[in-house]
This record gives sequence, structure tokens and C-alpha cells, in this order.
Amino acid sequence: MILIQCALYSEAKPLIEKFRLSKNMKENYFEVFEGDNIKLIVSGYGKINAAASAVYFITKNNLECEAFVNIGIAGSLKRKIREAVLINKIEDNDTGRSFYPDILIKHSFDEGTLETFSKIVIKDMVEDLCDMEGSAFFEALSKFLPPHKLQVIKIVSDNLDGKRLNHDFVYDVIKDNIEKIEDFIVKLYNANKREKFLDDKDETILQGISQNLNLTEFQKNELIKQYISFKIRGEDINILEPFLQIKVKTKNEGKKYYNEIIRTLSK
Amino acid sequence: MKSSELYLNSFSHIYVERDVFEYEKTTDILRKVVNGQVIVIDNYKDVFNRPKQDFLLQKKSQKLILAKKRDEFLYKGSELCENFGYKHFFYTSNILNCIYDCEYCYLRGLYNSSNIVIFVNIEDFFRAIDEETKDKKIYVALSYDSDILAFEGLTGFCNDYIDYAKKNKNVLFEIRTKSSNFNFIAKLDIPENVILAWTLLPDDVIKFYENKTPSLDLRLKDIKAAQSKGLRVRLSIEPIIKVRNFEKIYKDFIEKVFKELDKNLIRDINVGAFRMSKEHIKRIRKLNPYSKIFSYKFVNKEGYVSYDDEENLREFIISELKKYIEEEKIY
Ligand code: SF4
Repeated sequence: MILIQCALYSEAKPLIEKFRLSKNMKENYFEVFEGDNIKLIVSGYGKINAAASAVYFITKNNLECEAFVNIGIAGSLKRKIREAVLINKIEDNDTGRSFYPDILIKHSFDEGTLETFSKIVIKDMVEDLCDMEGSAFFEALSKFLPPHKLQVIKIVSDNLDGKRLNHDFVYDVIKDNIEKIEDFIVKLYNANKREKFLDDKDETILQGISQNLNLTEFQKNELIKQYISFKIRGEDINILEPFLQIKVKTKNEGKKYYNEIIRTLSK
Repeated sequence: MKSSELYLNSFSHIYVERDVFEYEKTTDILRKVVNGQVIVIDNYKDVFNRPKQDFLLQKKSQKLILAKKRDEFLYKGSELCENFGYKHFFYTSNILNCIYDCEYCYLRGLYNSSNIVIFVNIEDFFRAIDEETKDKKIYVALSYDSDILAFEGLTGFCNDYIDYAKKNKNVLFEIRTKSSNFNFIAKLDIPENVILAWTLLPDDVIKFYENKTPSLDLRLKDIKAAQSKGLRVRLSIEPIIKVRNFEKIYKDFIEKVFKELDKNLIRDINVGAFRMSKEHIKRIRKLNPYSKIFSYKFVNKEGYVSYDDEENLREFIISELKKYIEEEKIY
């Protein structure tokens, strides 16, 4: 699952369209949109909203996701309007703390530093980019997720000249970069998803043997450990097939076959 | 999608402490790592010690962190059993973590991160050694927590230490490596108080359990180059790792080593079993319960975890070595 956070609906709209997300009408606290393996939350302005909605969203998803990405607009004095930037350092202007997403995946963005402010900034001493949510998003989620799963993409919407931005323009600048964003999200998903080591066949064998031989918890754990070692060594698991046909009546009988299996696996 | 298409190259990002830009080493390293995205940081711990980092995933695209070591330039090790006339044993940590990725490496689970920290202020290490050797001889394993020669192209640390050793005879350095980077120091006049040691294991073990390390042949080629300069080298067969057909594989391996090398220029050979503390193996299992290191069963012994037959494995190797070299040289 990829989770996305945007501060504004107009930032979210191009993503909702691209990923064909539909609104979850059961959500009361924040606007949430869902699709195939992607969910998006609209947080509202500012640090508190960013932190609260991020924690709400990750908790709702059982603290699990392949990545959680904050996507939104940012101001910059030196960059061009509509440029999309992947953030490699986030500074919180209030606390002076810095945060570092792990950037492991190939991408086609320029990279930069984001500074997060509690108030709107006009022509301040901003080194690169500034926004009002990034640090809160990152700091709040750092409690739950590793830094390679926390990513921030900012699209330059203004040069800190204090002009009011209209919704259509915000929609536009995000939409301009939608292909790049999609490409990155797909790669993030592929890189972070975990393949199961024990597949369905393995589970069937292990469960079958445990049930048929009436194994104790201790024996079951030992069997799993030995089975894993066996599989890591690249041995042929079909050797256990015959044991699947055996059903025992007594504890002693179970123990006898259990010992035989352990011997086979540790040869 | 292939891993190489997905992940950025190693050193795609270089985190540099604000305070170390002025060091020559920093300039040198930054010049060598072209296209690296430089990110300024206050303290390496802000990056290296972040919570919840994924050690193994970071290995796919390791980042570089250039920092200044501020204290503890020399760590005290346990008293030496071998007697080289150097009773006091220390080790340094100029580099944290390694570019290689051995399944059995104890660095897994040691640090929060697998990113590489290079402490650029080598002068401060020398000062600490000066101080310690004022009134005694000391033995120093160089960059115990890494493979210092593997980084030579980037850091030049071995060159620096070798130069230093020429001026301070109260120190005995050991440079232990799996690399094939001898060429980086081959032209130097390497004094008697620098021991070069190569860790060797059979190729089957290297292929199955080590990632990114040079093959046995490449390491042997390097050792031969060192011997051809008259250097007496140390060999290290450690940790002994189990493979299918253990005896045949280790027997052939030892035969090959002695066929290729000049045994008179082998200073000594250490043979070490695979041992880890219970807590550490737990951490390694947590990182990846399916690591190849769990190919064979470990048992709990007094205070540590090992193969149940570790002693037999070690004895077998020692008995094979004795066919080629004096027993006194094996430890
Ligand atoms: S070469 Fe040594 S330090 Fe490097 S990964 Fe292998 S065991 Fe670890």
C-alpha cells in the first residue's frame, strides 16, 4: 500500500484522477480517497494538521505501508515555478531540527532541501524550498516508519512574493509533474514490497505435518526453523512429501516421525 | 524489475558534517565521488543514528557520511594471547561499516545504519597513538569495524598509516582485508611494523555467503604480489563457515592456498570459529530471518552461539594446515 498526504484538495485532485481514487464516505475526520494499493489523505494547512492526519492515516492502516509520501506545493526563491523536487533534507524552522529521508530509489527529480515554517513566509532567508507541513509529516511518522518509506515531493508554486494562488493553478502545477510522480511511486512500491520467503506450498507442508503429527508448540517452532535452513540451503523440499501422508494416533508415534523429519532436514 | 534499475548507485548521496569541509581528506574524497549529491549536516549521528533504518535495504544503495571523530580514537582490546612483544592491544575505527556485504558479518545488527561513515581527521588518530606510545609498545588493528584497504582508493588511510608507522616504531599495525587493493599500497616501502593480513575462505563459501568481495583467486593474486615484495603476510581463516561437503571444500582450499603462496613468507595463520553472542544473533535474525547464515543450525553455548560441531570444524582445518606449515604458526 502507498499512502499519500496532500495539504489541499487542489493538490490531491491530479493524483485522485491519475490513480482513479474514490472518496471513502465513511471517513469523518479527514477527506480520504482510495484506489488499488494507493490511499490519499487531505490534511489541511499547517504542521498540526499534517502530523495529526499522518498519524491517523498510518494507524488506520495498521502501521503498514510500502511508503508514505507527502506531495504538495512549496515556495522557492531560486527555483522555477512548476519544478518538482524530491526532498533529501527537511529543516523545522521552529525547532531547528533536521530530518533526512533515505533516498534509495532512482528518480527523475532534482533534489533539494525543504524548510518548514509555522507561518506564511515572504521573501525570507529560505535557502531552497519552504512549506508549512513537511517537517511535521516527517517527524510524526518517524515514530512508526523507517526513513526510506517516508518521502516528500514538493512542486514549486511561487517565488515567495505573497501572491494568492488559485486552486486551478495549484492543480495545474501538480498535474504537470504527474508522470514523474507516478514513476517514482511505482518504483517505491516495487522496491519496498516484501516477498514472502515461505510460500503457500511451504505453509501447506508445515501446517500439514504439524497437524498430522500433533506437534507441540516447541516442536512446531523447531520444525519451522529447520525447514527454513533447509530451504535457504536450496535443498529439495519435496523430500518431505511422504511425511504429509502420515497421521499419528499417539504422542510417541508423533515424536518418532518428528525426530525423523528433523534428521532429514539437518542432514 | 532488476535491482540495478531500481536502486541508486552507492554513494549517490554524501552527507558532510559542516565542520569537516576544511579537511584535505574531505576535498579529496568529494573530488573522487563525482555526481554525489552533497547534503550538509551538523553531526553524523543525525543521519547515522536515525531510528528504524533498514540496514539491509540501505546496503543496496549505501550512502557516504564524512565526519569528524571527536573522541575515543583508540579502543582498548583484550590482552593479546600471541606475543609479538606488544602486550597492549588497541583498535581504531576510521571507518564505520563496509562496502562488502558478508552474510555472517557482525556489523549486521551492530549499527542502526549500513551507511558508511568516514572520519576524515586522521591526524587526531595519529596524535592519540603518539600519546599512547610515549612509554610503551602497542599493537593496533586498523579499522576493525570495516575493511580499511577496500576503501583505499577513496580514503588513502592505509598510505597514511604506513607512512606513520615508519616514524613510530613503538606501534605495530595490522591491516586486515578481503580486498584486492594491494596495488594501492604496492609502491610503498612497507615497514616491518605493519602486518598485512588477508582473510581467506573457500570460493564456495565466498560465493554463497559473501556479497561484493573479491574471489579467492583475486585475493591470492594480491598476496602473491605482496610476497613478491618480500612481505611476510598473515592469513586468517575466519569465521569458519559451513557448506555442503565441508571437508572436501576446505581441504581443496588449503591445498590451493599453499600451492599458490610462498609458505616461508607466511608469518602466521589464525583459524577462528564462527561465534556470536546470543543477543547479537537475535538482532541478525531480526534483520533477516532467512539470511544464508541460518543455513545450518546454531546452538547456544556458554555465553555465545555457534555451530554444534564448531570445534571439529576448526580441528579439521588445523590438521589440514599442519600438512603444509609449522604448528607454531597456527593460532
Ligand atoms: S569484509 Fe568484513 S567487515 Fe566487510 S562485510 Fe565482510 S565481514 Fe563485514
